[in-house]
Amino acid sequence: MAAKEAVAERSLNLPSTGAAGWDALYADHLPRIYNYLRLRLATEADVEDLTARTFEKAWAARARYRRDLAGFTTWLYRIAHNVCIDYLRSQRAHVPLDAAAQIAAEPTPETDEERHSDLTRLAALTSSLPDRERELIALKYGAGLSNRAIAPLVGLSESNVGTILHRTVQALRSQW
Amino acid sequence: MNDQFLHALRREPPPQFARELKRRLDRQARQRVRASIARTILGMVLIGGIAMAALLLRERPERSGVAASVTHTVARSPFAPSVPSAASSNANSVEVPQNSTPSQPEATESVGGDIPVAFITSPLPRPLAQALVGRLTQYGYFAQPRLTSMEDDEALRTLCAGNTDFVMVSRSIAREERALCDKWGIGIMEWKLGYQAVVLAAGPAAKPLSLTPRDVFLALAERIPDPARPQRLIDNPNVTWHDVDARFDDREIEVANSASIVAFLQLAVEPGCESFPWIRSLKSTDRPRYEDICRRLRTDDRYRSFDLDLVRYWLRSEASRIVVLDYQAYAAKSATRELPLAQRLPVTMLDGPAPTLATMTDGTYPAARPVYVYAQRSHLDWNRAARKLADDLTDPDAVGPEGYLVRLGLVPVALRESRQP
Repeated sequence: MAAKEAVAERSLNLPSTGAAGWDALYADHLPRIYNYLRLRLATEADVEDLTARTFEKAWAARARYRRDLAGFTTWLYRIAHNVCIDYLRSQRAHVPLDAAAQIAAEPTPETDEERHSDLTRLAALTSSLPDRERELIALKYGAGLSNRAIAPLVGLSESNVGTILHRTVQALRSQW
Repeated sequence: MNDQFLHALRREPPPQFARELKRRLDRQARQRVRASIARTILGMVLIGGIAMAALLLRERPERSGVAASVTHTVARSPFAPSVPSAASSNANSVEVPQNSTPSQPEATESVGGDIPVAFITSPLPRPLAQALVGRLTQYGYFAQPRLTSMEDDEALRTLCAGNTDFVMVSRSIAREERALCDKWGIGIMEWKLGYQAVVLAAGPAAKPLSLTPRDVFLALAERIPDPARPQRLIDNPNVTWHDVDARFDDREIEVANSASIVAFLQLAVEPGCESFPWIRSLKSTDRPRYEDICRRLRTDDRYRSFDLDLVRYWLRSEASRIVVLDYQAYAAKSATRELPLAQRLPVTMLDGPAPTLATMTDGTYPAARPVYVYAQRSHLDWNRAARKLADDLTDPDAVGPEGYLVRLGLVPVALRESRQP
C-alpha cells in the first residue's frame, strides 16, 4: 500500500503532469475519496455529491497546488475533509451512517447486501466514537491510507495514529 | 473484526458515477482553458487601451515653439532617397527634412510621444510627399514621420500588406491590388490630388517639332540603341534633331531643364526609353541596367539644367532652343505681373494636345502623371497624426491655388472629398 502511495505521490508532480497524469490521479484517488466519505456520511447520494464536490474543487484549484507545501494526498484529503465538515455542519440533524440502512440502494448482489449490513452495524458502533477516531477509521479503512499518510492529515505522529487506531478497532471488536 | 474485515467494507464507486464525474471534470478543464484564453485576450485589450489612453494623454498639446529635430539630407542621384536616418528601420526610410515645406505653419505645440506616421512615396511625387510630412512635423506635436521611397507597385503592395499608413503614387490602384487589400482586410481611402506635368516649350519664333517621348530619349540619353543593331548601346551621336529622326529639320539639339530632373526623366524621357521593348523588359528583369539606360542623360552641352529666371533670355538668343518647365511654372503668372510663360512661350514641342488640366485629365497630354494618395482607413481612426495628414490632403493651404503643393508643381484637381476606391 505504501509503495502504491509513493508511486501515486511521484505521479502527482502536478504542474508538469499533463492530462494523462490527472487521469491517473483521478483513477487512483476516486475510490479512496469515495470510501472515505462513505464511512463519514449517511447516504449514498451525499457520498457521491461530496466526492464530486471534492474533485471539482481540487481540479479547479490544481493550478494553485504547490508541491513544496504539501503532498498531493495531503492536499486532496484536506479538501475532502473540509468539504465533509462543511456539509456535516450544515446538516443539523444528521446522524452519521445511521441512515445507511435506509438508503434506497439499487439492487445489488448478495455480497453487497452483506457489506451494507456490516457497514450499517459499523456505523452504529462508530456513531458513539469521538470525531478524531471516526476520522481515523474513515481515512484508514475508507481511503486506505497508511498510518504515515494519515499522520499529517490529522496532526498526529505516525505511532500515535497506529496506537489510536489499534485501540479503536479493539473497542469496536469488543462491541461487535 | 480485524483490519482485513474493515478493509473489505470498501467498494468501488458506481461506474456510471465515476464516468459522469470524469466527464464533468474534463469539461471543467476545457472551460478553464477557454476562460484563461478569454482572460488573456481581455487583458491584452485592456493593456492596449491603457497604452492608447496614455498616448493620447501624452499628445495633449502644450504651448511651445519647439519643433522637431531637423535632419538635412543630401541627394545622391535624382532617384535616390535621402540619406537614411539612424532611427529608421528601413534602409530607404528617411527623416523628413524640416525645410521641405515652402510655408511654415505656426508651431504652437511641443513634440509629443505620438505614433509616427509611415509614408511611402514613389520617386516622382517625392517632393510633394516631403512637403506634406514636413508640414506635419512642423505642427510640433506629432512624432517625426517616416518617409520611404519605393516604386508604385511596391508601395501599393506594402499598403495592402498593412505595413504603412500612407502611400503617394503616380497611378491609381489596380483592381488586382485592391483585391489584395480586401484579401488582407485592409480598408483603404483614396485621394486624387492632381497631376504632375512637364512642358517642353520653345520661343515664339521657333517652329514646332512635335516630339515624341522616343525622340526626346534619343536626343538626350547618354547611350542609345544602335540603329544598326538595336540590342546594342552606343554613345549618343545625335547632334541635330534631324539625326534623331529624318522628319525633323537640322536644328541643333539644345535643351535646358528648369524642372525637377526626376520629373523630366519620368515624364518625358523614360516613356521614350520604354518604347524599345527589350529595354522595357529590363525594368522587371534587370532594374539597375534599366535605370542606367533610361535615367542617364548626356553630359555635353546638348542638355543642361537651367534657372527658370533666365529662360526668357536663353530662348531669345537662339530660336531653336527648347526649355523644359514644370507645368505650374509654365502656367503661373510671375510676381512682376508679366504674362505667364504659357503666353510668352506659346510653342510646345511635344506631340499631342497643348498641356491643360483637361488634356491631363483625359490622358491625352503625354508628359503628365496623376498623383494619388492612399491610406489605411483604420489608421485614421486611431492615429491622430495620420488623421491630421489626411485632413491636409484637402486643405486649401496645400492644394488651393496658392497651396504649398501647387508651388511644388502639383496641378490640382478640384477639391473633393476622399472616397473609398
